[in-house]
Amino acid sequence: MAFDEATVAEIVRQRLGITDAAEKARVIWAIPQALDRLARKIAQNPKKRPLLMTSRATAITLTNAAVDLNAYAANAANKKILVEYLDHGTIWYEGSDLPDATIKQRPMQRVRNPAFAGNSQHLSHPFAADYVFYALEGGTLRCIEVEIGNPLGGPISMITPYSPKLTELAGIVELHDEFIDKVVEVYLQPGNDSAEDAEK
Amino acid sequence: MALALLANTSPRLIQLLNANRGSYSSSIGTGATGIGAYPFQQEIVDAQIEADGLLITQGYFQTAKSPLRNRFLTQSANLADGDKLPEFDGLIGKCEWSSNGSAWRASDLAKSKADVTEARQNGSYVGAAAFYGLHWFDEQEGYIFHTSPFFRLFYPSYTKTAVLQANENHVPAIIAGALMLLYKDSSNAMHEFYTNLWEAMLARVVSSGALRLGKVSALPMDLRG
Repeated sequence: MAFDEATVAEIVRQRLGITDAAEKARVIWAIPQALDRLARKIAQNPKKRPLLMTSRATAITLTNAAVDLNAYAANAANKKILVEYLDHGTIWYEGSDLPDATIKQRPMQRVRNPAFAGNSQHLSHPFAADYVFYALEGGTLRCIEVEIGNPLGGPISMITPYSPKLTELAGIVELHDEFIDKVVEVYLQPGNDSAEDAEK
Repeated sequence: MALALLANTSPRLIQLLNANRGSYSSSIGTGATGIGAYPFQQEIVDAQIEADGLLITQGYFQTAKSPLRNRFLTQSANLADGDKLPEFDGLIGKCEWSSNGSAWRASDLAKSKADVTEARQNGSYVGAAAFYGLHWFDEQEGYIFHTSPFFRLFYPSYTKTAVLQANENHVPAIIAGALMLLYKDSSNAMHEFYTNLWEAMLARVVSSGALRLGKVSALPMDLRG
């Protein structure tokens, strides 16, 4: 089943009872914003959140204990991770730079103060074998060193809310109706449609 | 519908023009049958072909919602975004777009020129392919703007030949038009009469398709005959 821009424009045209396809271009411009609005709406809904989470297989590589998630999301080949909803997801460190390299998957725990994160910082690490601590600097995820001068590297994986591309949303049929609602909302009027979108 | 034939229209004209003493002949009179009013048969034939051409370009090509011009629709070459429209008179048949140049689909007329040009220039935000299948005519300037990799249109084109190309049922219009052209130097009254007749018939041809089809499509299904 094709669920591309032209199809979305046609569904919107039919829903609004527009006689011809002359408005098509204007509907299509609303699609990227509608995708973002839908993603944030779903991320805030605990029941529906699992419908729009990245797969565990999402591989992101730490360099010098850090990765710029915005730059990662800007690459069209990658999932557009919603940094502001990172706390609703789970992140694992899967590299082998920690003392017990036999443990391959350590959940990562966020600390609020980025002052602890960085290559030259050292935090007394209570559960080094269980958790890797990180903080966010803007859109950059930065891990806290376990040993001074030995920044973490290697892959991390995450299950976290993301903003889908239309090709990705095509396979999530449960969200098609809500997505069309969002396209209509953006197309017809700027602004918020409901309190459900609280933080948008 | 069958085509009008010179063999059927010429006797009628020659009779009206008193160009042969014999009854209802298909050629002008010469020698014993001649009356000298029209020494050249070709003048009468040319007037019919000119009237036929006028009927097609000013009548058939201008009718909305009528298939009268379908026989004359010509496929344009592939037109790039911003290309000039081919020269034509009347209404365009259809517009088609393609992503590969082989499978063609109907293109939609956009709401404004900016809808097309901005999609073309700044469409990468959404993806250029998302906007395929839209076009806009800048009719004042004679240009086509579109968003697709390949685009073509079907436009009415008339090429004069040695035979009539209008339909048989429009023979009265061809005769009126030919007489309007032939009487231009002879009689003011006759010229005026046939000019008015021609104008009325041409207007009828232009409007008939629109009126007839327009009524049907405007009626609810249960009210149609």
